[in-house]
Amino acid sequence: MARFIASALSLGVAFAAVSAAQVSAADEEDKPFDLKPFDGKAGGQVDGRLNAAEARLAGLHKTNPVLAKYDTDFSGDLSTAEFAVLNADLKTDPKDPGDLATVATMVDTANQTGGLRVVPIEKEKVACAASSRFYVRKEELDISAYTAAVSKKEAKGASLAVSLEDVSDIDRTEAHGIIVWAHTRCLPRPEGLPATASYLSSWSIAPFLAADGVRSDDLEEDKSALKLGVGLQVARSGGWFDLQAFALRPYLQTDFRGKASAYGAQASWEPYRLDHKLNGAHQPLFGDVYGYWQFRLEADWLHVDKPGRTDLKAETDYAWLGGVAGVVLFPPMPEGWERRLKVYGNIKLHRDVNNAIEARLNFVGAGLNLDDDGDMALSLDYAWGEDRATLDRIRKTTLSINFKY
Amino acid sequence: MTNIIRAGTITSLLRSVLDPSGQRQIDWEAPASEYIVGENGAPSAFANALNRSPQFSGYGLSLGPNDLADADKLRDIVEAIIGWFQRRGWQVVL
Repeated sequence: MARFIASALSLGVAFAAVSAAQVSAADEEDKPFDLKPFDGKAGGQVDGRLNAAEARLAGLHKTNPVLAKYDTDFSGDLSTAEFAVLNADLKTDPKDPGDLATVATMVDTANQTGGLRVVPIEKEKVACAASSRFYVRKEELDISAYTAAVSKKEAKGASLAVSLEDVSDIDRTEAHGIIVWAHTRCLPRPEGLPATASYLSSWSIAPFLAADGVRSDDLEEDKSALKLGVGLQVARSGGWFDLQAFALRPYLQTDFRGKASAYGAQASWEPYRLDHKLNGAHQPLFGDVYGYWQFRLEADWLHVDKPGRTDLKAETDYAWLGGVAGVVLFPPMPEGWERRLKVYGNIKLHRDVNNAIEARLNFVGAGLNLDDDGDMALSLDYAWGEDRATLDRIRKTTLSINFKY
Repeated sequence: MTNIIRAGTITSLLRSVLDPSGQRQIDWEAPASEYIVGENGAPSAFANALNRSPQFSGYGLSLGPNDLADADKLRDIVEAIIGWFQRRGWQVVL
């Protein structure tokens, strides 16, 4: 298959180059279709008119430019000799008959030497296999259940910083990241389902441990959230959206000192429509600049027993509704560095409907993958606003090296 | 009658999906992530983006995320599309 694909790809380039000049049946449509050659063919008599068989043959030639050109004996299909002429023309003058949906029955000699090579079917379609692996990323929702192998290149990495200050005697540890073990299963498309219909395409179960915050001897900045939970995710493919991801994550929450006690559950909906640049894109905005806009809705219910090292209130239920909206751009980069740099800005806006609290956290930043695989990345972020996990007010610039697995 | 499609046609159509302008150099050996960007679900979402594209909708292409689950390079996507045609009785020729 690989050798055939390589040939096909090179031919595809050639076809793209000549596509503007290709001759097609459409170019010939300005001329009236001559029915005379079909009189007396298909077993009929030469009598100045077409019977049903002759008319059917004429119809085939009229709608099928390959037949029209190469079915020189008017049999309605291509013989071995006619097929050889077709093949020879394609090799020396590659006009792409790709707009042709149907060709007359090809004889079995098509795959013999000198004929068109048929791409062999090397393997039967294999049903989706389940996969299980660890991930290390920055945020819970940076993990996806949708693919067997989640790309690291565009994901944000986790970061850990430890400083031991001898002069002021203030030790500080800052961590932002999540460790996930994800068991994922993608589901095959049901047979016979219309191309535009939606269906359940994958599910996953993903226990996680998430850390976000600072442990410091300076109690002013000692704010943190440590969550242990299970992510349950399903994805639907098709319909108006290319993909929709639904997630539910119940969790237990404490802080880096183990003082806090809370539990809750988070739900999210993340839709994709690539031609509208919604959460992804397959075409550049212009030139070699790619970009898309982010959008995700979230609901987060949290019951706090003990706030610990957060600004949450004891014996309080929080019910956050909101989401994330933002923009991601990939500026043009030198060859070999494509799509390794991205700049982004987003707003995380949530409102606690129980307590009439609004938490708005803004980010702008840039990230650069330091290697091809996306294992390590350098990021520069400026964040300001309120973190709903701790209700801590933030205004900080962070330069960090992040790692992903 | 057997339906026939050239493999070069498939690559030409995919090329026009990824680059409607026809101006860019497409590297079929490059990672798909250089041409399909987005949040983590974007590579899977591309299956339906292909299905709805004017280039492939006429053929009734009905790929799912599972068809592209192992598509690391663009050539893997070409192979997945070829596989779809073959499973539906098309002969794919060079």
